[in-house]
Amino acid sequence: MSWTAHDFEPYALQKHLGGRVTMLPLYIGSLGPDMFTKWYVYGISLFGVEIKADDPALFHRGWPGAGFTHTPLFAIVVALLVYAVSRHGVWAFSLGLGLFAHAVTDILDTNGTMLLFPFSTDRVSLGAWAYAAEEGKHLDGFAYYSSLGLVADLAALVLALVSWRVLQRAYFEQHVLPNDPVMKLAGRVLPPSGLLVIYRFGFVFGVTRLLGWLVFAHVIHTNAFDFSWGGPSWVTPFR
Amino acid sequence: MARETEEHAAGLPPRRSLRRRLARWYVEAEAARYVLSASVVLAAMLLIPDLLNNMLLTAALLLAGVALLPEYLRKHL
Repeated sequence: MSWTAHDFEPYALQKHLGGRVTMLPLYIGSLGPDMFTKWYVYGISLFGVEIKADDPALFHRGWPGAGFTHTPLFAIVVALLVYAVSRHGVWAFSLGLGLFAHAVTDILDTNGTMLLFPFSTDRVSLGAWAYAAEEGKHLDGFAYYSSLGLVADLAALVLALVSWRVLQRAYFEQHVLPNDPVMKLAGRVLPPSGLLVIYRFGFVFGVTRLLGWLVFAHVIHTNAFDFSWGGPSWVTPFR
Repeated sequence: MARETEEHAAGLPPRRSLRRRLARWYVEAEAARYVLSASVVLAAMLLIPDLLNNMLLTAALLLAGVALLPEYLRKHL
């Protein structure tokens, strides 16, 4: 899976697509497939009972399971549903594009995604880094931030930095705020600087957790970097 | 002079106090607000590693540090 790449991608998409997209649904779409599935993949402990998927890799990306959330079909269906309910094309398209981008980005790990679902439940994978979610959140993070996954996140950060103009207040006020009815609604309870925080949230969150994981994995703990294809070799990847 | 007397009566510190100057700087320096707030988030994540990837914590601290606290300070400067 990709981590902060999902935080940074929406800013590059915003730069290239301008008024055809808006950040809030783009970001929700970009993180959405993991927001609703990762807790069950890693498992949680509730009153001494552990709730966790029997087969985390299959549940997360496969079928049967919640893998359909990581498919282009899901992106199209959600976009159509949102359009049917809201009649807001920009919101619907942005949400669908975010979900689509997530599904495509996640083919980079050894688990992959069902790009051709429902015609095929085979997972398409480039296998650039090890999918290790079944090992738990911390080991998953250690593996990801010691592998080519880190390179992917840094590349996505560079993409976001190259798109720095869309992070400016002027861009937000001229191009984003007029296009997004939800932002206008949020403006009833939040000051303008609060709306800007929501708009920039993905970028700041991405930078913060990228730094956090790097320090946690390589300063507080010791984990060897391994930038070989499919690495790191010290974790057992799902293949 | 009258304004300063009013502020003194209202219990506000003298206009040139360090606290007031810091508050004014915080309200005006937007980039510094982001860096400071993100640093607090980062420190919390490293102190409690289970908070790594926690969107709610980040959103709450960013909103408070970047938007709500400056609004409060602006009104009370």
